[in-house]
Amino acid sequence: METLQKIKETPKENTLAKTPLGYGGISGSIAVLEAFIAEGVSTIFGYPGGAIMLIYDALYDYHDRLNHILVRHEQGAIHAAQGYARTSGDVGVVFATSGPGATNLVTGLADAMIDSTPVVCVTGQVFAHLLGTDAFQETDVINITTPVTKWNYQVTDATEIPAVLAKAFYIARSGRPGPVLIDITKNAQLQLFDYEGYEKCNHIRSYRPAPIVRKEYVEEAAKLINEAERPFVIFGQGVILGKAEKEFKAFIEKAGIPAAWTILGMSAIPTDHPLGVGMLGMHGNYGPNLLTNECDVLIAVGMRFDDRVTGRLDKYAKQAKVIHLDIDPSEIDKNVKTTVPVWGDCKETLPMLTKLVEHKVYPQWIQKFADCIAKEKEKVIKQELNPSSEILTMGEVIELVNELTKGDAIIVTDVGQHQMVACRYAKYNQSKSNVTSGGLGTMGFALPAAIGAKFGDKKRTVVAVIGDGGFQMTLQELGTIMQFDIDIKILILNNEFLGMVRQWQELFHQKDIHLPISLARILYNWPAPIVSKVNLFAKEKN
Amino acid sequence: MLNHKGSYLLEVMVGKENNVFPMVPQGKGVSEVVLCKEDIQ
Repeated sequence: METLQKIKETPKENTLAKTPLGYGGISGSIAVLEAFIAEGVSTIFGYPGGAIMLIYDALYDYHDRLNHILVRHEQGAIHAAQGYARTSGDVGVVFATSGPGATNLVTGLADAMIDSTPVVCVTGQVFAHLLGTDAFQETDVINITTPVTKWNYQVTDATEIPAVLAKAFYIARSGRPGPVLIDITKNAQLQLFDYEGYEKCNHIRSYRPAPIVRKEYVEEAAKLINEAERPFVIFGQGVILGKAEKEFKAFIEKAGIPAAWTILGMSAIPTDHPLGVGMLGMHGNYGPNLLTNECDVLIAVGMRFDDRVTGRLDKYAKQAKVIHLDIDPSEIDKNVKTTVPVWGDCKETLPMLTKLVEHKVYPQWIQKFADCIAKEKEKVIKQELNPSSEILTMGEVIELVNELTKGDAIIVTDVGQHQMVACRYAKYNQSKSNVTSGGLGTMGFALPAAIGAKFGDKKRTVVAVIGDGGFQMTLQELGTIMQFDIDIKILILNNEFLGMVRQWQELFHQKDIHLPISLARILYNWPAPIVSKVNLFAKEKN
Repeated sequence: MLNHKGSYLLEVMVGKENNVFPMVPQGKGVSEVVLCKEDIQ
């Protein structure tokens, strides 16, 4: 409001005076920035262009309070905003222009949608009178982004801007979070209107982000848990998004139930928690996968039974009664039929459940998980962490990161073998430490996401672990890192292959009829260190 | 790398043809999880 006051008091010196419509009120562009200030935004990731230049012009007067990070590609902007949202627990904000600027956001929107990441994107659009004329850099961004946004809307009249942005932030962060895109035509950015202040939104008719919890279902769930002999908890990012880490820990500790995380649920409890039994999924730990089909009550918390977690559904936990706690009713009964649905915010439902469950321990059942870990150690982990050859494994490098960061770092990963290895072996002490593209599996995610992750939590060390394939998809963001001097540690694990593709070719396809997709040593001739096994360990430990 | 002030890029050459295990092969149930290549049917 300070800036706004200043602008109102000195109309001749502000950007409004420069507009052809130099009369009272404020411009749509200023209304956008006032909305950001009111919503607590401090960092914007963006890339300018013709249709959003008026907003960038207005941004000049806000540079003391809105930090704009100029990325090198719009995809970088949205992944950075996602990284920011993941480590800060708040909404990431993006600016992009019309046409190609907007279409370059699509991958990030899809990623944020499937991984429930709160992001608000503001895109510029051509003047309203040009809409539908195939104008320069015009594209129908609303139709393009409808399936990959939680909500999108086109503004052609500036008077709508305050209320629409209030709705945008409310929708992005409430309930199951997600991405929102607001497309603003150039005339609306320019238009002056009587501004009546900004009012935050906390209610939209027929939108119920915080469902009323049905107590009888919680009671039924508690009854099932209390009668169980081999209960098993599987949890996802819902615990982190719901800021319910403490409530979750209290629940499993009182009930004494072993708990496994999905890739996005990782770090909600410390990885060395005595009841933490590892990661679920295609490349998760042996025990959690195997014993899913031996438990008698399966308690799913804030996770969506992705196919990478369930494998074949007709062979998934058929013996178990299933309790599903989720905030999104469309996830309940979607993939796995539930015995007891507990629709609600787990921040609210978990304490209700904790109150009703009995103090218990399941030593024999937990021993089964320990036996599985022992088997996995013998057959997999030993070779990965202590290989007999002089060739480095990815696991050894991650283990070294663990040793040096003591589990306090934020680890951002890309997609592929290095992601699976990093998530299998990384140690975490605190929540919001694992940033990765889970549902969409977006190669190129890690480098820009690491930029945002650093802005989201500046006090923590950010290590971006990236494969040689994914690194080359968004490596232009090295420019952003250099320009803004962003303190992130980039660790490229180069196996000179698209490793996961190569693994599938070897295991499931006829390798000899496929061309191996070999990538050159990326940094060859670059002034960056390429290290061998011996000096990596020596150097990093000194 | 971690003690260095500011950004740092380290490229580490790792084994070329290592596979990630355990693995639930595509089209299999979770209890068909395998620990090595030889277990895949």
